[in-house]
Amino acid sequence: MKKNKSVLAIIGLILICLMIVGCKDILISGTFVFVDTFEYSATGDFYFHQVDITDDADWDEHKEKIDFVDAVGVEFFITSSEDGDVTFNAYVDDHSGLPPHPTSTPVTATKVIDDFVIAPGVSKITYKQSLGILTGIDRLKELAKVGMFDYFGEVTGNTGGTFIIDSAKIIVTVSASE
Amino acid sequence: MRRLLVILGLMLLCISLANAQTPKIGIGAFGGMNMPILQEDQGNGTVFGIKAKLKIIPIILLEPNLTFGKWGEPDPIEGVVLGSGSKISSYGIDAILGGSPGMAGFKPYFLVGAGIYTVKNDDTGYDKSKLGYSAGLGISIGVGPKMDIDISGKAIFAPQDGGAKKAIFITGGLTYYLAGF
Repeated sequence: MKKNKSVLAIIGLILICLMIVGCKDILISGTFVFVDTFEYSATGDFYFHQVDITDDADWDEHKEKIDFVDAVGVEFFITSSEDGDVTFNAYVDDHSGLPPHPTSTPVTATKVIDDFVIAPGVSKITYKQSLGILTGIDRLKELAKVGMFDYFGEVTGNTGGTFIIDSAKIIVTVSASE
Repeated sequence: MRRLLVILGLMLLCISLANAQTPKIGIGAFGGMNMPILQEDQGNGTVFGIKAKLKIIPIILLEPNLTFGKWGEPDPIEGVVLGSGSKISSYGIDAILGGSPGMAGFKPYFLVGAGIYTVKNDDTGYDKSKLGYSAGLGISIGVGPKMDIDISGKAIFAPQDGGAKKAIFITGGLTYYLAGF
């Protein structure tokens, strides 16, 4: 009986060791959240921003092994001094690199916020809310996996008052290995 | 994945070959803490479940189990509130070495197991089910011939599309032995 116990204990330990060795990627993987923050004032009707989360230390450490984009969301704090509602659209496209930057939304861009109506005053779109209103999510995740992409904001209905995105954040959650 | 399946197959084969007795059964429930490992988008949560214990040979038990867990809301990241955590549920089987039932006193054991783990988040739409595995340590405290108090720590690895969601379950529970131990 004592011999049986020893053999079984050894078998169990060997099995655990084999699992650990065979699943190194699984053991050292993790889920990371990256946030790119910017702000803008739309006195016109167009805004351009290059999202870049590649300067994050965690991204740099895991950039060769980004396995999966779990989620992409946004968060906006908005102050609108317009008299009436303003309609807000957002698009994303491949990272365009160095200037000159686009002055209008390219036809290749994918719409990710579709005719979101913002009333006069202070508004907030939370991360959780954004998960319910974002469109083109597959394309957005594809771009987020690269870590750099172009963002275009379009505002219609602003009549000369001030429409300010006090804080805009793009939040990317990825699963990554070593 | 293939290697894991082969290992588990061999393990079950060894157990089957060694089995010369009629399995004996206990049932139980457990609950406790569910701590995500290396998951910035999840906070500490809870886990609970039900299990059976089948005695195969004197020092090995098989423990089929059904587990329901939920991670909590993580701390805000750069001011962003991510909201409630994901749900993790599983059904699977653990092989337990030690912790002999039907005896009074402290009975340490260790376990390895496999199961189908489902990680789901209603907000983000994340929903994946895959074969995962677990390993851990515990102690059974025999409070009579038919009842054990179980305390265990179990690391779970739920593979996804590359990498894995990982967590540690710290649970306490009771097992009642129906007969035969």
